[in-house]
Amino acid sequence: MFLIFGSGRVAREIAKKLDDYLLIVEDRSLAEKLEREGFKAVWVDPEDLINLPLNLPLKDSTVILASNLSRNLKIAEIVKGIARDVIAVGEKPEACSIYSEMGISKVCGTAIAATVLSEVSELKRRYVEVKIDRYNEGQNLKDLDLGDFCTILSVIRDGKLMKPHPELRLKKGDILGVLCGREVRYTKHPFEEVFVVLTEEKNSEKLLKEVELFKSKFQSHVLFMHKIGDTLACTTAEPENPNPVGLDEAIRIVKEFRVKPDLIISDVGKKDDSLLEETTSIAPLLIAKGKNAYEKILTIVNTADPYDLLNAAVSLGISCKCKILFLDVSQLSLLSKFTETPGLEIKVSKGNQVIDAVKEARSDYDLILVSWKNDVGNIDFGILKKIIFDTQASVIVV
Amino acid sequence: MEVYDFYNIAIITSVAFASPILAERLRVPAVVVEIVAGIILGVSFLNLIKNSEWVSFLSALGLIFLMFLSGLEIDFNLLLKKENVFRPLIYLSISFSLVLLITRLLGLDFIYAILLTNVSVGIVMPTLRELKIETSNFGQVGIVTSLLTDFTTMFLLSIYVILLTTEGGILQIALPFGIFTIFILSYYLGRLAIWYFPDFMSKWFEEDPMELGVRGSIAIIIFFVGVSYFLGVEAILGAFLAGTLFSLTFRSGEVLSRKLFGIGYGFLIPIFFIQTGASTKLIFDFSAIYFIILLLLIAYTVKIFPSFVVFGDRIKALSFGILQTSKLSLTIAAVEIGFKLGLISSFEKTNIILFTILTSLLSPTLFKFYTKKYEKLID
Repeated sequence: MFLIFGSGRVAREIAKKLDDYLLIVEDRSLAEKLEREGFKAVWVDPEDLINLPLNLPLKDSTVILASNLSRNLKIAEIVKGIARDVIAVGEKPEACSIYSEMGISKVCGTAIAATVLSEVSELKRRYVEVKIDRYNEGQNLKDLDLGDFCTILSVIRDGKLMKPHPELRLKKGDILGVLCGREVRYTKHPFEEVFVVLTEEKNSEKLLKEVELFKSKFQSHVLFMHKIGDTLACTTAEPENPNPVGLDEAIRIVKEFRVKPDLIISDVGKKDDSLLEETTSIAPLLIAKGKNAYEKILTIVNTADPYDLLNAAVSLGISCKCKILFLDVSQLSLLSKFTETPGLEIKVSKGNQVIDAVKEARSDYDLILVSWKNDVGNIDFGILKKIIFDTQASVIVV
Repeated sequence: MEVYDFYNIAIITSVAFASPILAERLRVPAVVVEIVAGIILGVSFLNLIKNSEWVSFLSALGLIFLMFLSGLEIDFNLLLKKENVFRPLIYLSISFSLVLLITRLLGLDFIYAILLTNVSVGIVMPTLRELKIETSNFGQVGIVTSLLTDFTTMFLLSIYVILLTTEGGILQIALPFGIFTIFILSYYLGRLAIWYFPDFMSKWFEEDPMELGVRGSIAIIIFFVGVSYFLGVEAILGAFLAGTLFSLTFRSGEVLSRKLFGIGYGFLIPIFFIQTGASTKLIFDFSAIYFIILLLLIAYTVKIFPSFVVFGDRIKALSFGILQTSKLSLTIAAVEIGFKLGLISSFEKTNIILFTILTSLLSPTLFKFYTKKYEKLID
């Protein structure tokens, strides 16, 4: 269910597009008026907002904050952590950043919010077209923040397709092509939550070097998993004298708590198939070998389902030299996704896939990305493990 | 080299050229046309193809290439997946146990168990592809089963030949098995070469005017064949192991495979089949017909019965069993080896070849008919 806080135009627009919703209105007469107009609306006492969790089924609902900034923030404080999801609709960029700091999903740009929200909330459709009305006319494209899950793919003006440049000033009647989905969030914030697992004390320095790389490049929130005595501890601050912990033990805990980090960074050197399989089923695993920077990156596309691998490659490959090695010609159909990524070199294996992969992997790369699925390219797991553990480069196993 | 050698080779290469064209028109495998043409042009009828040292040499090389390419065709990526192998393994175990029991009861040599178990991957795969069911569960089980059967029967044949041809003390018997040690060593050497010299190894698999890959492959085939002779093992085992080694170590490499298949199927292998046909003496009598019918009965029984264990469904089981009865090139290669070793007589050789040709025509036709009739039930 969607609980929409607000009674204005945006709130009503959103309500019109949803089936299972309830408008929460702080003005009794306005609530009655909305009901007469055919909306499902209820009145809540503004003085009694603190009791919202008692009166509304927040746990099973997505809360949409469509009121003004101060009301939205007040309600967000109350419902955050209780409601299934909280999405705020904002118009001003500064409001968006405030929502971001609070850890609330947001869709900024009210005129397009209704359409996007109704689609995104339940991910009914991945591609949405939104018409720009007078409310967003004159805005730059960069000022439209569609939240973490959506991105603008195209702008159609007078029937012509335009490239979505950040400085593009919108006109009334422009049609925005918006793509929504999990992978969009990943592209925008690919490594937001990073877990660090040190398995051997001597590798501490190497590991921390690469943790710093992620922190500075992706503003990653890092959680260090280490041991205090016999107990496994998780800290956001870098522990002074971290005690190593087994990757298997760390993974067991991560699984128990049902959290899904964006990346696990470890120094693990054990060629344990089941451990690698288990770890990569939770999150990509970076086996850190102490690189100071990722200037040269290689991605070996050895899976039939390479979206996660390629998204990671593109995110990491921005502002450095990145080569993508396709092991199968048929995978070239995915190429359109990356044609506009600068610094990207595409190579297709023409001879022997195993030898081509080894030849590239043994070249001078700082980082290699491979998939543990390994269902394309005929690389046997023995060679794959050699690429992962025995090359100079750090390796992300997806 | 004498003038008649050129005549012989000229006739054989002309037949080899015409066979695929004719085969396409007749909708039968080219191998069938080559053998039948060989029978017509050989000792049975026209006697135009005569036995000569050169033809025998090229034919032997053809057999070596056939065995090498059969090893090369084994897709270890498919075979080494646990989920793929379980059903085919059960099927093969039951089928082979059954054939062993029947051949033992009939007092036939062990080579019959191998011949009757063997299946032609070259028929199974195109038939499944033709019906567009090769990627279905049924199709995948069919392909893996035929690959596994091919590998197992050729392996058993090699071991059997080693045991038959070696005499004496433990060392004399153990020596031929050294070929497997060399195989394992070569496999690890190959992997080391891939890891430490990828630049050099990649040249084998790319378009290269010096054809390094082809030269290297032929050197490996000849090395394995030579080692086989040295250790007292049949050359076919060496060639088969060389192909398997290639497949297992490198796993892929379309460009090089294409070139090797070109040399094999474009030149040497047809010579082997035509020569096999030419040296086959046809004798028509009731005992021959009875023998062929008996072989057909056993072949279909040992392939259809186990399919009921693997597939509960009657239609799937029947069609699966029928297709797995298709035999062709490797069966004929095994017949030739059996004949050379004195395990089968000239009469048996001729009729097993005819039986093989019959299964190669009958099984895919029956399978297609049956599958089309019950199309919805297959998947």
